[in-house]
Amino acid sequence: MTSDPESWTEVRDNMPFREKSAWIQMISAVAVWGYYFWTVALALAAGQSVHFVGLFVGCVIGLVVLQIVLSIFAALFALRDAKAPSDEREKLIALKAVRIAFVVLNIGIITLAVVGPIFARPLLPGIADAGMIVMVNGILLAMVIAEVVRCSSQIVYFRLGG
Amino acid sequence: MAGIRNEIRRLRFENGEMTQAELATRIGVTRQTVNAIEQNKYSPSLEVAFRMAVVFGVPLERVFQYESEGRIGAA
Repeated sequence: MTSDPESWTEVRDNMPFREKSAWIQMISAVAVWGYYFWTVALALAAGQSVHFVGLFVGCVIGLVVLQIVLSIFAALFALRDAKAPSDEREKLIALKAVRIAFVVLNIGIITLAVVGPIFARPLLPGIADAGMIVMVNGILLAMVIAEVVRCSSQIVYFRLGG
Repeated sequence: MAGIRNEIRRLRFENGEMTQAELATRIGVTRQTVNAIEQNKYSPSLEVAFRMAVVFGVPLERVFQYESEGRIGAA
């Protein structure tokens, strides 16, 4: 037994399971939606038609599968943490992150509503439904950015302690 | 500068070198939350603070102290 509490050290693990979850959600969102927007941008730049719905559904399924697999993998290394419900600090961190992401989402949607109709035609000349393509993908982009901001805010709050 | 200080580390030590994980389990939070509280990075709810005091078997003011303008007082 140590005689002085000041010199007493514990073996500290690792990051909390919910921080790992935030990393998983952020990385998988960037990877999957990055692929989606890259594919769409390349196709539109080449003047080709894109099967948005098929690509979108494929990406959603891919995202869900990727997140489930990575979450199971992360949970295997922290079974107790993974099973435990969120405590008050984790709930507070989640709420703070959602608040920031909500502001980002609002700014994104409002910007899109103002700028989208102006730049749709010049951005996609000769493409039918240019306005609709820009609007739908713009909304998706705003949601993806908001999600990435939510996850990264959670990570920062976890690192700061709450 | 005002702030809340705590004696959790010392109290854990005095209670059989209780680990953060053991304390966390007994008060119903994660080990990382106990660590954040101990390092004054997070101020817990009254309920969690009282649970800590009960686990250590001491009054709340032995666990947390409120420091105001250079003067330390009980929580």
